[in-house]
Amino acid sequence: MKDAVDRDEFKSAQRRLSSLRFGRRRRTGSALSEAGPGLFLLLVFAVFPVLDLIFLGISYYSCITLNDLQLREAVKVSKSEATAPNGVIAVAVPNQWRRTTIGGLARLAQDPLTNVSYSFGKGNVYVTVVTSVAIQPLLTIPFFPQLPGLGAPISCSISGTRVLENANSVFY
Amino acid sequence: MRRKGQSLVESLVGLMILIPIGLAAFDVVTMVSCYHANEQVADSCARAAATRADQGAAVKAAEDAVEHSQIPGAALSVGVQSIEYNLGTGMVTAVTTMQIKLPVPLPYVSQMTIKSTAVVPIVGTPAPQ
Repeated sequence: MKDAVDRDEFKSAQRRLSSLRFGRRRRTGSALSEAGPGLFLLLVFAVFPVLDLIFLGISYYSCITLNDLQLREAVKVSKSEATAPNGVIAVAVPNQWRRTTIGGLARLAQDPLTNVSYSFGKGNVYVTVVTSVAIQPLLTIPFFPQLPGLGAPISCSISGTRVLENANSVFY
Repeated sequence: MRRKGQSLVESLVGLMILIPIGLAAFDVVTMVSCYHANEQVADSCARAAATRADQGAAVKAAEDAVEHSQIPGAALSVGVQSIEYNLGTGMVTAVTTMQIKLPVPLPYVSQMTIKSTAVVPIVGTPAPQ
């Protein structure tokens, strides 16, 4: 009788110890086999796309800053300087912007394209700067090969308009 | 079975808190974006008004600047509230208002009015000798 009680207690203690060491799923091994695919799905379809979207927002904001810098310069210089293909607006400002911290955050697939145009109001002259950029995703996810922002660069245009500082600048 | 029910209730309570926070985030982003746009409109108005020689011309120039401004999609209307062309101080003060529609209407608040002020030195008159 005592032996039977001792045996039951021993088996019970052994079960508790086994449970503590290896967890409840040891018998099936499902935890290990599910972790791999689960982690893969979580990373590829949740974590990486979210990181890409966050980075896309940061890059877009960075490009808005570039457009603002170009616009600030465009209102001060003459039309011939502003519209020059290798001039201060199209080349010098983007190059300077890239050397800054916020400019370095944007991963561009190619150099930004800038278009400067002028329009006339009632006594005012307005300059519009359109900056076209192609932002590369932070992590290119191969499962979305043609999806802009996740597996391919996303193109966007940022536009800004301001009053020309000196209205006569539009004529020379 | 009892534990599953508890999880369901906890999930529902959690979602009841998280979903309004997420929706409110849309409103906050819209408000910040529109505020920034209105600041630019005010600056543009003040800059246009500063190139004029008197109050009347300055108001017309500011209204023209509003017409040429880029306005965000959430904005219902933008207008010049006041232009103060002060030759004494040599400064123009422009105040613009922008009425915006919130993407997720809050209780009793579906529209908001944002006001921005910009001050720019007058450049439309000759400097005093």
